[in-house]
Amino acid sequence: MNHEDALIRALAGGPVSLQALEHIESCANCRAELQALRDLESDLAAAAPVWNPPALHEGRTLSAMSRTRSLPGRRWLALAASLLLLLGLAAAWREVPRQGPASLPYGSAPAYVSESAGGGFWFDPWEEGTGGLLSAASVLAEAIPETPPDDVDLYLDPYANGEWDG
Amino acid sequence: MVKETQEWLELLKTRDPDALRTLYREHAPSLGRYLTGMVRDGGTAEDLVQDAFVRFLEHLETYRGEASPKSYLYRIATNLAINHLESARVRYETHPETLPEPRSGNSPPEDRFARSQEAEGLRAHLAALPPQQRSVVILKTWEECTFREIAAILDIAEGTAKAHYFFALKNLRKRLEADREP
Repeated sequence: MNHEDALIRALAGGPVSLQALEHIESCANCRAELQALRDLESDLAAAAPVWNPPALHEGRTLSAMSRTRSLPGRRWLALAASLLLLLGLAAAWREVPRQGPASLPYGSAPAYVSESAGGGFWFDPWEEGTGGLLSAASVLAEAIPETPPDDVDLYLDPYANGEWDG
Repeated sequence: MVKETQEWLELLKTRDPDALRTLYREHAPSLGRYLTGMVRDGGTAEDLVQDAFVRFLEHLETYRGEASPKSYLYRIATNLAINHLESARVRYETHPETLPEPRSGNSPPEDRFARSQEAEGLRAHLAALPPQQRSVVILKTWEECTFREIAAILDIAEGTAKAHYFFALKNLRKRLEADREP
């Protein structure tokens, strides 16, 4: 045990280990230091000032105390903030257009698809009018017509010429 | 005792005038002395005492009884004092004249010492300690708090409070000895 540990234990009161006691008993420096610190403690206690507030302090403070309102706890504040955030997101979602371009000719994909570098899918969720990821999916669905127009030669109908009739 | 405290807290929540007066009269003198020691300015200490009571009542709904009401009140007061010291960066050791006047009349011996030059010098050195060390020393020697109470007020471990106290006293002793040297 070092000097400081022993002194802290002895000065702070409470149960002091035998080891600390033995150290202080055997160490003249620690004994002198402990005594000096205890004297200082007494001087400090005696140097405590007396607080004399002005006569009006009590009335003024009691008046301020009676006007106080309880503040909401942090949990309630956090809950209120979360609700506000959800409401804000819901409102923003309602304002965003759900549809992509009104009509697209067959064979042309929306800009989000065809102009991507290297032909991969590109989508900017923050681009005005795209309406987020779900809206992007609906734009893609619209870009691919359910039935092809008549003038497309590449479309193969396996049943057209009876090739599969057997 | 716990039941009594609970009832008293419920009365405080309704801002019962008698409960408010009891709270003030029970704690204002020691809180005022503590805050005077912390900020070394009588006027500021008066304002902070009022602020501490107001904050205590404002946060009473969220008080869960982890610490005693006294510790809770002192914790608020300590935070107010430290915030004041940090924001204003006040050097209180340069304004000893702002200390409140001790009681007059037939003062007991300890009060006569409190008014002496020596006591004033001691308080000035105390004010030069870092805020947390200062707080620990005042709470221990003036307010006679236990280390467990000090730890609860400052939100630190009990062992840390003891170490702060020891190093603060050592620091003070060193300063006093330096003062005595010619």
